[in-house]
Amino acid sequence: MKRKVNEEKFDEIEKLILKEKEEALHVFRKTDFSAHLKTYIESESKKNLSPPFLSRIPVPTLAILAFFLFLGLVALLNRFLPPPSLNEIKAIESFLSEAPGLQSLTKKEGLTPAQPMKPSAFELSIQNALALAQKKSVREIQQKEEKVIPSNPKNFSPQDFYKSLEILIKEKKLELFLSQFLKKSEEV
Amino acid sequence: MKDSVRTEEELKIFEELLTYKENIFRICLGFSKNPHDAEDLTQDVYLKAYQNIGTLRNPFQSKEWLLRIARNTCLDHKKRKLFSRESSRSRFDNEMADSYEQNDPEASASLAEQLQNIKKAVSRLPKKQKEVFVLREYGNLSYKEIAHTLEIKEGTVMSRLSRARQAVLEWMNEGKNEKKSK
Repeated sequence: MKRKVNEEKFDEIEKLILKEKEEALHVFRKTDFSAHLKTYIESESKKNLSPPFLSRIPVPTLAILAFFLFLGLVALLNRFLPPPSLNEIKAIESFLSEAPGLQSLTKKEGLTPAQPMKPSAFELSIQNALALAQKKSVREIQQKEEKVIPSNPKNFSPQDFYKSLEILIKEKKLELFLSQFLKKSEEV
Repeated sequence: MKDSVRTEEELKIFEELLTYKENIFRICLGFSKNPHDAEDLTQDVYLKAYQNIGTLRNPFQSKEWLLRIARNTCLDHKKRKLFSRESSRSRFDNEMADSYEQNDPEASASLAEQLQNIKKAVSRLPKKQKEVFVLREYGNLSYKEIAHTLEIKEGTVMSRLSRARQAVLEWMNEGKNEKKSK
């Protein structure tokens, strides 16, 4: 019985929904839905067109890429561009010395533009230590040479000769390396 | 757009899908608050169908496929609360109001109020009951079609619909009683 009453009551609601649908459909039929849909699809497809390649890459990745590109460019320039010639250096120096602000500065401080910088105490100590090491190694080599080469040339065998030659080559290499290292440190 | 180039066959299927536009509009009307939103939703449904038509495996089940898109689109919009576009009375709303006011103004006001109450009651329904209710009462679908669309049994459709109707009826009565007490 209750169920029947509910069904009857719900019929009223169904009628109301039907009325709503009819009214809405009446207006919907008046609109040109297909034309609206066509323009809507076209506008949406324009919006969703794939963006250019670069805009799809995240910004941090782009920044890192740009940084590495810059580094590469600098490395290339360093490698292929010749170092400035003496004339160029002199031209820059003369230009800087003629510049009004810099001229007064150099006069005040008593510096000439091309004056080389004095090495610091730390650099000097390194240089001294290297020089000492070189002297020591040279002395040791001389001592060994004296030991290897016998005083009596009659007792000297070819095997001894090769041994001494091998030692000499090794020590010469060490000496060469140390001298080059010293030169470089002086340059620095 | 996943693939802007559509084959002839796909376009033909889409043309066929457009014949269901009134069904889809009615379903969207059931899920939305007003006909204007329902029209926007119908356009969204067809846009999604156009974009994904390549994924339709069986063209003979295109109606069920479209109904599924409609149901998902409406529920998705509901989640994002895009149903608050009631501020400006659109062309659609004006025409609806005019059609009500052509009759007795008092009767039309009462009708509008009753419709508003139904909308409120439907929006209060749980999701599963609501979709069955809308597909049946607004979309005029059979139990079988609803079962296919929602991929549930017909018995489940019937029980959910019965519970939904009962709930709507109770809320409508509650609304009437509150009005009387005021």
